[in-house]
This record gives sequence, C-alpha cells and structure tokens, in this order.
Amino acid sequence: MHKDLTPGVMTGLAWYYLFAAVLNAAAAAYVSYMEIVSEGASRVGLAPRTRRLPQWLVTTFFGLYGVAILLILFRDFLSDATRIAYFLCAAANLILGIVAASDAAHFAELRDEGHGRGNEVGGPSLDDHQPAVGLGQAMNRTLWTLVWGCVSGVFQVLGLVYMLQGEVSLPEFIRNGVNYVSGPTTFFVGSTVAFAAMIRYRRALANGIVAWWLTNLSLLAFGLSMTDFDFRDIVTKPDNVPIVGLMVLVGFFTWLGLRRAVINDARMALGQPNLEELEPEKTLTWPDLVYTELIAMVALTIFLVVWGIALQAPLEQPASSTTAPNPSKAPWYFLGLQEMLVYYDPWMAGVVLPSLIVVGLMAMPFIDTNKAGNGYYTIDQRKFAYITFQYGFLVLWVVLILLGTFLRGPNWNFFGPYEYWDLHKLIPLNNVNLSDIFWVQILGQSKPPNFFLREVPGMIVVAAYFLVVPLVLLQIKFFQKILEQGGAIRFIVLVLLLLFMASLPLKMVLRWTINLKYLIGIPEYFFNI
Amino acid sequence: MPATEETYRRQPTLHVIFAISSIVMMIVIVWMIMADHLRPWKTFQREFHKIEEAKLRATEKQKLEEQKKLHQSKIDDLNKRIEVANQSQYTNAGELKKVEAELKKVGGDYERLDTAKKFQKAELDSQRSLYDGMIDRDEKREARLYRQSIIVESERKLNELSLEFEATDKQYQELKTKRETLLGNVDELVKERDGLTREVDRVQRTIDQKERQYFGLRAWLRGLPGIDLVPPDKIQQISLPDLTINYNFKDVPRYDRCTTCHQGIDRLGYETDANGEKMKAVFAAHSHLSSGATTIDPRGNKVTAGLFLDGNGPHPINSFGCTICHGGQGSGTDFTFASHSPNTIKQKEEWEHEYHWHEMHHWDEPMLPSRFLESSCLKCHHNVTDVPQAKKLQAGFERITKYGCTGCHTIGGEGSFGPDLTDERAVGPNLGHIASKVSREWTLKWIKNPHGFRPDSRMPRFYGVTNNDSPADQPKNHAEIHAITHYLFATSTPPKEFGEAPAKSDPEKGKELFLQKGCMACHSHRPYDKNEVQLADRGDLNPNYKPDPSTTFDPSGFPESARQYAKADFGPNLSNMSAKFQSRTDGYKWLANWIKTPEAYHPKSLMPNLQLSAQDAADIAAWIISIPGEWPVQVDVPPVDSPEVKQGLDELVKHYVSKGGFKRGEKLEAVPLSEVDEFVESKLSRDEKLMFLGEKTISRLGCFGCHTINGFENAKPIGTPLNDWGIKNAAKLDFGHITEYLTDQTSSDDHARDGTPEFYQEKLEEHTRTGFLYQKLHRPRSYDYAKTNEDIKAWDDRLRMPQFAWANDDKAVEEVMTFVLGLTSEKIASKYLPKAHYKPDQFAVAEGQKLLNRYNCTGCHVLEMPKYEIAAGKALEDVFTEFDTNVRVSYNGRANDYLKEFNPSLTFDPKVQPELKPHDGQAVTIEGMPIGLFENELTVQLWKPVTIRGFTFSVGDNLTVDQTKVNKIAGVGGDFAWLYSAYQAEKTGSDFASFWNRLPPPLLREGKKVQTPWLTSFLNDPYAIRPAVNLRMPKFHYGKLDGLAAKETAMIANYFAAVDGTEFPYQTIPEREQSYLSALEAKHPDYLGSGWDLMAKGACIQCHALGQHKPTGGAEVVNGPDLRQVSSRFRPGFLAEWLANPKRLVPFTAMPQNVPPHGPPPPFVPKSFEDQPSAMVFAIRDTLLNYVNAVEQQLASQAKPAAAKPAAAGATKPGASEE
Repeated sequence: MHKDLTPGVMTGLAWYYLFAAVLNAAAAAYVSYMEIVSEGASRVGLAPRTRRLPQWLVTTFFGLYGVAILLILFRDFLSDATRIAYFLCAAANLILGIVAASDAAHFAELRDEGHGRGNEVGGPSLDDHQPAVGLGQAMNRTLWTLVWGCVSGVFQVLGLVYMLQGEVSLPEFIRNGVNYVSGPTTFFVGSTVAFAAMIRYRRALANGIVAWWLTNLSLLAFGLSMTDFDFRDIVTKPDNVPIVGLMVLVGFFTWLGLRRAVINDARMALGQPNLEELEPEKTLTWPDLVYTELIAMVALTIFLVVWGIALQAPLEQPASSTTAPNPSKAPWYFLGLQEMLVYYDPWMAGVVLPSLIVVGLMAMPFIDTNKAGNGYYTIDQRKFAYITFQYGFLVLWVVLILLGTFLRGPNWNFFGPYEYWDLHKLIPLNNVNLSDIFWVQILGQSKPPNFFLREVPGMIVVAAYFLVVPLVLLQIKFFQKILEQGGAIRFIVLVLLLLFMASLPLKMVLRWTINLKYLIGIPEYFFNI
Repeated sequence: MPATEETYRRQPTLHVIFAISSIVMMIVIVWMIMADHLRPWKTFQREFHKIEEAKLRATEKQKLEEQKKLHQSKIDDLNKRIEVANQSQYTNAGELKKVEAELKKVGGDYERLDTAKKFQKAELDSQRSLYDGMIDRDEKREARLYRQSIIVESERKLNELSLEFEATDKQYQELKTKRETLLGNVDELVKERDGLTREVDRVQRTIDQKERQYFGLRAWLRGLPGIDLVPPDKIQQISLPDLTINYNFKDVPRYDRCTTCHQGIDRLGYETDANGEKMKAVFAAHSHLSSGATTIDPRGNKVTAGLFLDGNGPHPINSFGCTICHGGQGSGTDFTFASHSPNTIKQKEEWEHEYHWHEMHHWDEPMLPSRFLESSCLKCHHNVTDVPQAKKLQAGFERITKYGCTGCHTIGGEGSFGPDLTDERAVGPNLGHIASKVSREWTLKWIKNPHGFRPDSRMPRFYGVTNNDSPADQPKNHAEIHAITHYLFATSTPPKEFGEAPAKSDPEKGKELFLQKGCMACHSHRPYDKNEVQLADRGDLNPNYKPDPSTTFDPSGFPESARQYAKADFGPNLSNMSAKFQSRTDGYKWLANWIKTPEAYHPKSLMPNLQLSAQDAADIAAWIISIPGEWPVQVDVPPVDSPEVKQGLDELVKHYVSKGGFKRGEKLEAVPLSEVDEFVESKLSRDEKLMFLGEKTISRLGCFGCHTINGFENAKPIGTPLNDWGIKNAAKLDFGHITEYLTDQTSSDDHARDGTPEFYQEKLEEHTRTGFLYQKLHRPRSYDYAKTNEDIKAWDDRLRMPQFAWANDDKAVEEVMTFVLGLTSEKIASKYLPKAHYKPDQFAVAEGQKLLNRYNCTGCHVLEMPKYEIAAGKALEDVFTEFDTNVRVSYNGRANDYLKEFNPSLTFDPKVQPELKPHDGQAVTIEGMPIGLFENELTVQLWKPVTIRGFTFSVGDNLTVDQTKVNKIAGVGGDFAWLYSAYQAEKTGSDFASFWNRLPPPLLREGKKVQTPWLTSFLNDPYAIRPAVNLRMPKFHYGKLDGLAAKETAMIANYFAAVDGTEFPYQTIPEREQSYLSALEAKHPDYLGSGWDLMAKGACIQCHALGQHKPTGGAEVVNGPDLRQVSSRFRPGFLAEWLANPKRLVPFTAMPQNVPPHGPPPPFVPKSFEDQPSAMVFAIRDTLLNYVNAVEQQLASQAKPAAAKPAAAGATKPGASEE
C-alpha cells in the first residue's frame, strides 16, 4: 500500500521545517536588531535603534545560504550536494537564532515603559515590539527574541531529523481521533463556534502572542499532517494548492483587519485618534503608489512563473458521459455553492441563493446607513454589519470551500483529513420530507394524495419563517431602530436577506437533527425547499 | 495639502527591494527559458543528433574506404586526366579564342533564327485560324484564295526558316563540340568521376544537409535557449485522421508524437550506433523494420519487407503510427504522460529512478507491457488465425476455444466489432443421457473436483476454491454437488440409437486396434504422474492409485523420438475410464456404442465417427474397460442422507425459497417468509429439494455453457460479455479486498504471493485492468476475500468463475490475457482492416486454419515436414557432411526418371557432371522427412526442392546433415503418423518411411493435388480411397448447427487450395473439353483408347482395378485406389506429374514410375507416341480424367467384331474412326 513516509516526503518535510525555522529565526533577529516602529506612532517618532545587526552574522548567514544555493545549482556534478546544502542552511538558521537570542539576553533590557499605554490590567504581553493600545501590557523584547529563537531551533532540529531520515510521523491515535470526530456537523458547527469565539475573544486574538502561537502551531500541525499519505495526497494535488494558499491569506488578512479594529476601538474609547487618522491623509502617486505597484507586479510575476514551472497543470482523463470523475468537483470558488447542493434543491442552491448573495451585496450600501467605520477599521461601532458579513464570508463561503476541497471525497462523502478516500465507502442517506414527518410519523396516517394538502405543513413552516420571524426580530431593539430610522422597506429587505442567509445553517441543522430532506417537497413540479 | 518631498516609504529601501525583485525576476525568466529548453524530449533530440552525426560520419568513413578499395585507381586516373584537360584551355588558347568568336557569331544567328522560326510559326497558326473562320462563315472562295496566296506562302517561309535553322544549329553544335574538345572534355570526365564517388557524395550531401538543419554551428545558434529561431528541435507527430481515438463524446484524430523521442525507430541500420554497439533503447530502430513480412517488388518478385513501419510492409509508419498497436497516449511528450508501461518489476524500478515514472490512471489505454503486445493485432485481425506471427495471441485463442470460455462469456456476435467466436461450440459432453454412461458416485466426485480424476481436465473446478473452501461452506458445497447430480440423473433420457454391444470381444485385439485406428491422435492413455497432479490436490494423493504403465500406452513404451506424440490432449486421457461407469457391462456397452457412433450420444461431438465395424469398436471398448481405473487424488463426498448434506440442503433451499418461492414443475409457488422454515423442513421431500436446488445451482454456475443439459436448452450464458473488456474502465472492476487477500498469503522466495508474481501484485494494487485479469484467471474467486460471510454476500451472490487446470501456469494465463486485452471493440476504419486488403486466398487460409485446429486435423496429417535451417554465413561443408555424394546420387538419380517437360528447371546430361558454385553465404533451409540417423549424421529426404550452391535437389533426394549444426524447426502436424511409424519401425526393425503408405497422408501440396469440390464432398462423406489402408478418414460432425456443416467442409477444402495458391472453389478442367481432345486426337489417333491401353496393358493393373481388370499383383502388392474416382479427384497438372514420377511428389509412395523416360516404348503403344514419354503420360492422364468417355469407348469397341480390332501398333482404331 501507499507509504506514509517515503524518502522523498522526508526530504520535503526537512525543507519545510527549514523554512519554518528561518521564518522564526528571522523574526528573532528582527525583534532583536531592527528598529521598531510603534504602530500608531507617527513616522517621525521612531523608536531608537538599540542594537545593530553584527556584520559577521550577516556575512555568515548569507554566505552559508549562498554556498548552499551554489551547491544546489551544481548538484549534478557533486554527490550529496543537496544534503550538504541543507546542513549549511540549517547551520545558518541555528546561528542566526542563537546569536539573536543570546544578544538579546546579553543586553537584557528592561521593559520599555514608554510603549505600554492604556489602562488595561493584565499580564505581560508579547506585543512589546509593536506596542499598541488595547492589547494589554507590553513584554520585553528579550523574552520575545528568546522565544522566537527557541522555536526556530526546535523546527530546525525537526528538519534535521527528517533530513537524516528519522521517521517522525503524526501518531496514529491522533489521526484516528481527528478522523473520528470529523464530520460535516462537527466541522460546520466547530467553525461557527470558532467564529463566535473569534468575535468574543477578539482582543486576545488580536494580540501578537496568540497569533504567533496559532501560526507556529499551524505550521507544526501542517508539517506533521503531511506525514500522513492521505492528507498529503489531497493537499498537494495541484488543483488544491491554491486553496492551501487561500487559507493562509484569508487567515492573515482577517487577523490583520481584526487587530486594527481592536486597536482602533480601544483608542477611540480612550478618545485617541484611530490608526488611520495617524496616517497622512495624502501620499504621492509617484513614487508611493506606482513604485509600490510596480514592485508588486514584479513580485507577482515571479510568483506566477515559479508556480507555473513547479506545479504543472494537472491533466485528467478525457471527459466521458458514462464515467464521471469521482468525486466530481466544481471549480474551487464554487465549492461553497456545491456544498449547498447537499442541503437544497438545485434551483435553491444554484439559482436563488447565489442570486440573493449578489443582490444582497449590491443592496448593502442602501441598507446600511451607519456612517461609522468609514475609512478605518472598527468592530464596536458596527458590530451587526461586521458579524453578519464575516459569518457569511468566512463560515458560509470560505469554510464551505475548504470543506468541499479537502474533506469531500468520492460520492461526495465526507472524509476525515487523514482518511483514505475509499471509492466504495457508502453513507446511508435516510432523509425524509417534512410531509413524511408530519403525516406518517406524527399523525400515523398515509400522506394525502393531493400534493397541496400533503405539503401544507411545510408551507406553514416556511410561511411562518418569513412572516413570524420578522415580528420576533422586532422585539429586539436593534431592529426596532432600523425600522424607525430606515423605514419599512429597508427593514423588510434586510430581514429577508438575513432570513435567506440563515436558511442555510438552519437547513443544515434540520438535516442533522431530524434527517429532514425538504420542508416542501413537490417533485411533481420540481419544486422543493 | 501641499506636496512635500517626504514620501510614504523610504526610497532607498524601495530601490533595494525593486533591485532584488528585478534580479529575481530575471533569474526566474532564465529559469523559465531553461525549463523550456531542457524539456526531456528536446534533450533526447539533441542527444540523437549527436548519435546521428557520429553514425553518418562512420558511414562516410566506411563508404570512403569502400570507394578507395574499389575505385581509387580509377578516380586517381580521372583526376589526373581532369587536371590535364584543365590545362588544355591554356595550351589551346589561340584556337579556343577563334572558336569562341565564331561561336558568338553563329550563336547570334542561332538565336535570331530560332526566334524568327517561332514567330513565323505563330503567324501561320493565326492564318490557319482565319482560314477556319472563313470556312465557318461559308466563304469558300475567299478561303481558297486565302490559302493559296497567304498560307502557302507562310508555310514556305517557315520551311525555309526551319532549314536555315537546322543548318545553323548543326554548325552551332559542331562548334560547341569543338570547344569542348579544345577544353579537354572536362565535363565528361567529371561526370564519370561522379559516378564512382556517388555513394560517398550522397552521404556527404546528407551530412551537409543535416549539419545545416541539426548539428552545425548555425543550427546550434538557432537552438540556443530563448532564441528558438526555426529551432532544430521540434515535436514530430504522425497525424492519423482515420485511426481515431474515442474521446467518449467524439472520435478524434490520433496524433502520435512518439517519434519526437524515438527518432531512430524507422531508420534502417539504427539497431547499432556508430561503434557497432547496441543502440540506446529510445533511439533504436523497430525490431521488425526490415523483417517479418513479404511484399512484391516492382519486378513482381517476392521480397522481405518490414512487418512494421516499413513503407513497403503491411503497416507503414505514416498510416499506422504507434499507439494503435502499442497503446499509450500518443500526444504525450513526457515519459510518464505517454503512459509507458514497464514489463517487469526491474524495469519499473529503473524507470522510477530514471524518469520518475508512475502509473498513469488518467489514460484509459496505457501502453501494453511488451508481454501483451500481440493483443493489439486483434483490433484489426479479427480472424485471429491470419496473424501466425503472433504466437502468444494464437495460443490464447486456442486456449479460449479449447477450454470453452465462450460457453459463459460471449465474444463477438451481432453488432460487435472484433473477433467473432460465436461459432465455437460448447466443449463439454452431452449430459442429456448421463444416466446411461457414468455412475452417480463418480459424478459426485467429479463435480467436486474434476482435477482429482484428470489433473489436466478441461472441466474447471467450482468447489474447493478460495471463496468456498472454508469448513463452514462444506455442507452447502456437498448439498449442491448432490443436487446437481440428482438433477442430471433425474432428467437423463436413454440414448435412442444405442444398440446392444457384441457379446464377444477381444481386449487384446482392442489394444492393438486402439493404436492402429488412430485413437492416439487425440487421446493419450497413460497413467498420471504425481507431479502432474494439481498443486491444490498434492496433499490428498490417493494411495490406491497404482497404475501399471505397461498395460497402457505410456509414452515410455514408444521410441524416444516419438514420445512427445504419445501425449495427445485433444481428447481426454482414457487410462482410468473404467472408474467412471456404473458397472463393467454398462461401461462396455456404452463405450462400444460411443466408439462406433459418437453422434448417437452427442450429435455435435468433436469425436468423429471412425467408421469402425461394430466388432472393432467393441474390442476397443473391452480393452479400455479392462484397464483398472482409479482416482489419482482422493475426493470424498458424504452420502446424500448424511446430516451434513441435509443441513446444507435445507439451508440453501430455504435461502432460495425465501428469495423467490418454490418451483414445482413449471409452477412457481410463493411461500410466505414466516413459513419458509416449516415448508422446507416438513413439506418437501428430499428429492424435491434436490431437484429444486439442482436446477438453481446449474443456472447459478452456468453448467449449460459447456454441456447440453435437459431443461436448459434456452439458457443464456452467465458470464460478462468480453467484447470490449480490453478497454473496460478499471473503475468498473470490483477489486474487493484483493490487496488484503494478497497480504495475507505467504510470500515465496520470488516474492510471489499465492502464485501471484510481484509484477501482478503491483498491478492489482494500482487497480489496473491487467492486474485484475491476471488474478481473475489465476484465483478467480479471490475477489470475494473477506466477503464470504453470509451477511456480506449471500451464497448465490458469490463469484462463480471457476478455476481452470492452468491457473497456476503463468504462461497459459498470459496467453488468455493477451487475447482478452485485445478485445477492445474499437471501431477501426475499414481501410485499415485486413478485409480491405486480403485476397480470397488469405481469408480461406485464415478460416481453414481455425477449422483445422477445431477438428485436430494435425493429429493425423502432416501439414509441414520438419525444416532444417542453416544460418547465414555458416560454412556448408561443416553442415552437409556428404554433400558431394548427395549431389552425385541426386544427379545420377535423374538418369532413371528425368523427364524434361516436368522439370523445366533441372538439367540432365549423363556425360556432364553438374558444376557447383561457391556458397554465397545465404541461409539455407531444407524441408523433408528425417529418414535415418547415424551418430550425428541425419539423412533428410527432401519434400521440397532446394537449390544449394547452384545445384537443385528435387523432392525425394536425400541430403545428409550434421544435426548438431542445423537449427531444427519442428514440422506441423502428423503427430499420430510420426508416432505410429516410429513405433512400427522399432517393432519390426524395418524402414520408418515404409509405413507411411498406410498412414494418414501428409497434406503437402494437397491443394495442387485434389479438386476442391471433391475434397468438400469427401470430407462430408469420406470413403476408402486406398483399400489396403486400415486407418480410415473419420467422419466429423461438422458445423455447430447442421446448416453450417457444408460451409465448414468447403472452408477446409478451400484452405488447402489457398495454401498452395491454386484455384478455388471451382476448377476448370480443360482436359475434358472437346477442343482439347480433338486436337490430340488429330495427333494421336484413338487418343483415349491408347491411354486406356497404356494402363490396361501396362503396369497399372497390377495394383489398380481398371474396368474388367482386377489387380494382378496379388496380396503382396499394396492395392491402389480405384481409378474411377480419379477423374473427379485430381487436378490435371498434379495428376500428370504424379503419373510421370510419383516418387518426386510423395517419396514414400508405393506407386512406381510407369512410363520409362527413355528406352523403347511398350509394343502396344501406337507409333505416334514413340520417343514421347511425356505424351504417354498425358494420354494416361487424359484418359483418367475422361474416364467415363474412355470406358464407353471400350464398351463400344468390344461390341465390334474382335477382328476389326487390330493389336498392331500405329493402326487406327476403328472405334475412334467411327466417332
């Protein structure tokens, strides 16, 4: 059978951990040696450069990497060149991490009181080097550097172990455990819970230390997961690589926005100007905009070319009407829609809901009359808008894409991340319509032959959803305010959109709890809800 | 806000970032260009250009050397002369100048006159058209005037000009020649030199051209990375618009880019590189580029051609490409994407290492591993037998038909594209009368394990295989076995046409007859060796099985040279027959009847009617039954009333009843689920249950696929149709838990698990078609592994494919695989199909071949004599140890029998000895019968003429060869004849060839010999041709259906004609036509009468009956065939040759040469035949062909008074004159 760890995989992982180590080591060096700009400080008020990066360290580090690159370029003529190059790089990383950390320890500065602002009480924060209002107290750079350096060392050692063909892999019980708890329910509910937690504990999350832990833990988790054949097989499919990138990008920018919003909210609560107000109002087109854009263009070109060379377009078999690829998946950006198809009829999941998403996005400026948050990040001032949008985007869109890409396998069955995609796995689909539940299970009689009569219960439920729920919502102050301020039409549109958005998670819940197929099922007219 | 100098980001930093990113981009772009430049196929092409250059240079060198050797002196001489000639323009400068001046002047005249002539001609043409116009307008007068005045004048002018021009031209040419001479005739000399250096020049021109294109400096510059200006490296592809690929929605043209890397594939001489070493595999020429086929050159000669890729061969590269045969993705230019398939584990590992190869799952037609290459032949060659080169495929085809795969699996038939095997017949015996034949007990054991009785039986095993061999399954197995037996015996009817066997029989004589009557052509009669017992049964050997080989026809009882022929396996081994029958008397009766008239028991049996007398059949039966029979392997079936069988029976009956009710007679009874237990246990008798289960089991296992079973006359075959199995999507195959099955088997030394080699283990893990097929044939039920639990798979859902006797023989399995993988059902454009190219004779041969196999004709008849091949380049003196003697004897032999008319290519002059030429080094193949062996010197009696060193040996001549130095190619067919003749030769101590006269005749030249219609009717109803022969041509049961019988006999007859390249199915016999006869009558009065006399008064009547004459030779002389049949049987040409000299056609024949080639003619021959021995031969031949005519003449002449019939030679016969 397929092996979890092959020499090729181990070499790949060694380089992966080298990358993780160099990131951490570089961060350590950055914290230790680089000048620090306080977030929110004007560009004039720079923090003083305290220590300088020793020249010998720069030379050694880049020298070792340079030799390594040369070795790799000429690997055809030298035996074992790649391994030697690896050891050189590892040595460079370790040297950088250790020197940065020990230098930091050597100078062992006291906490810079000047940066810690605000009246929060709490333990020390690792956010010292980018001190900001609202994120707790600062912690000293020395400790920061030591931690980064140590983590870099750990990653590097792990990398060396793999390079020396040590077979470290994710313990079987963890894989089995993860597979066991995985399921569409846990995944979706988990995401929703995580989302709620993100909003609730946003101040902690915005803190660098938390983000840092999350980053390094995900690096480690990803590296360890790659030792599983099935995980690796799915993740490294050239089709799926962009989605891995998407996870990183969405995660980073969500965090960044969240962080700035948290800082702004804290600053504004203190009556201070928000971060955006600290920035100059106008900058020059040249060089500030155009030059940066040019550099970005060049960088993106590099990235695309390298990607094009390294990951060739995956070709599969010629299309056939008799044998569809299994699983047959939509393009990645439609996988969220495809996931909706599990719960809704195509006309709903493929036509109504997507149209409403587009319509809703277009309607947003007309519905949302809240002028707060214009030109700066904030959550407190527009909580409803933020949560609604982020839930729709992150949970109902991105998370469903991830689910569709990585966890939906043959026959659109759900597979745990470490589970073998078995073509023959069969999951029972014992779903019933509401009419069955009502007539057969509750009333214990056969369903009426007339479809209208038969579907009456479903129609009542649907009608109630759209008629009664708004009335219930009106009991909430927030919605009362909207009705008062915006008028009835605005309120109705908003509530309708909201109800449609909520219909997806609600339907999911119904499916999982009472195996509900359709609320209204009229196959006679291809009308199912 | 006013503009400030302050920027948002630090400019120097941005500059650094920009610089770095620009450099990186530069590097990346270079990387991109290099990645393109170093694409594998480009690298291959560059490498090839180097090889090509080296090879061309080597050729150039070699040609130069040759030129030096052959023509150097001439070239040197020419060079000198050219030099001298070049000098002459200086020495003759004065004169040359004069001539050139003159030439200039005359040249001016020449050109002027030429132009004037052309103009005048144009003028004349125009005037003529004007004249035509006048005629059209009916202006006759004007036209006449115009012609007389203008046209005539113009014509005159033109004429004058022409004359003038001719004169000038002559002068001009003369001057030119003069100048040439003065210049020393350099041009001519150069032309002459070019003729000598042509070969070298050609190579040099090629080098120049290739240099410009591929490996010169400019080509190098053009091909530099990133430049790619008209690059020397190009993807090469063969477009095949008519050889489409099915892309599911559309048939798209095929583009084969294989030649992009396989550059040398269609180049002669690329088997080796410039140093003569084996060429790297990727560049090597195709192994059949110059051999394997024949073609007709423009001069009409048959020459060898390449079977593949050769433009003159049957599969030229530009119309066939590569992937149609090899499979793989033709448009792929990458090693893995082209879907290469390794043939061995070792090769796979090499590829993985070298090319990062992995199995391509996305291409439905992966390249065929070379072991299955022959599969592809089947895509077009639906007849199968028309590609004799594809040995493995042929073997697969034979195995499939022999083992009756088509009984369950449909192959071909209406609407399918591919080979059609629907006319193959069921291979098992008729079970409709089984009760009259075998005992119940034997049947039980046989069903349980047929290999226990005959380890090589065609009947596969259904029980004791991986999905029903657990102890828990035994009750059900035994219940089914009992049920089948019960059903068969209950429905059996007595055979209607069986009679009583003779009361007295003689087993001793029977044994003799068994051998004599040719039983061993199909059957063997020998005890089984322990090693022959199937692997699975080795643990259960029967201790009571102690056969005595001496009572049987064990091969050890035959001379060593013929032992291989004593193992015929077309029919079953008959050594333990007596164990089958209920009793000895029953067995005797059944056997006697069966041997005499097999069709009474099984109308379409492959066992022919041997036309034996009832007594002979009874004797043979008595002998067969007298040999004690025992099972080599112990097989036990518990009795029907044992609790085990009862339990299994109840369980299965309950299972079937709860599934579909109980069938009583024709009526289906529904039984409620809750009552099934009670119904089965108390309401059904045991016999009812057995009958019910028997029917269910027979339909489950598909026994009727091979056997005729009463009640299953219209049952449909149970297996998957195999029409397009060769491209079946692997996703549609259920591999079950095969990997787990294999893992749970112990691994042997060669890593095989349960006999599945590592190669197929990998193929199974990768879920490929080939892997599935192998395992399906090797362990058909292993896909049920861990699924036999009743909750997972019900008893009747388990796999049913049985395991054949050859399941452990990888070679056999691969033969069958080769065939099945070729069943792709791909619709090939008709222009590619053989039927578009074949002539009728090719069809006839292919079809006949099938029938010859089907009826095992080669069991008795020789189709080809053994061949002895002397490889090219071998010294003949070493091989032919007695060559001079052979030549002398052969040559002198002609003294007695040489007739010029019949041997136009031979010469004979008793005064001159033949002249032998030196051996030219070509390979020599002789074909004939080995008639004597002394130490290593083998004497071969030729059956085909052969020319060696300019001397032609004809049929019947002997050649002595050193058998260690020749390559013996076994003959085809005649197994029994070889066996019997060798046996008799050893027994009687006489010459081995002398027995052939009484044996089935070799069928060499049969097509030239007999008339097709005669052969057809003879096959249908064979009669005794030679009365003395005790072995008769049997009567076969042709045709799967009666209506097809005539078609089959005709096909066999056509086959022989087609093989020999003669006319079929009808022949014209001009010798019977009146014009032919009257022409000869004019020359030889009473032509037919003379012919008659030549026979009646000559030697013929010693052996042959002729009219009132009975053979006079007595019992000592072998009686010849009745001459009445000759006229419808023989073809005229062959008959004449035969009469002229029978031994030169069939060396062993007893028929002598009856017309002496020289010496005085017999006295009764008319004068007109004097000194014309061949005319006598023709006269006899024509008389025989006009037999009825001749006999009638005889009757008429006998009716005349005897006096009117003078015996004197030369007198006109009154009978003839009256006509």
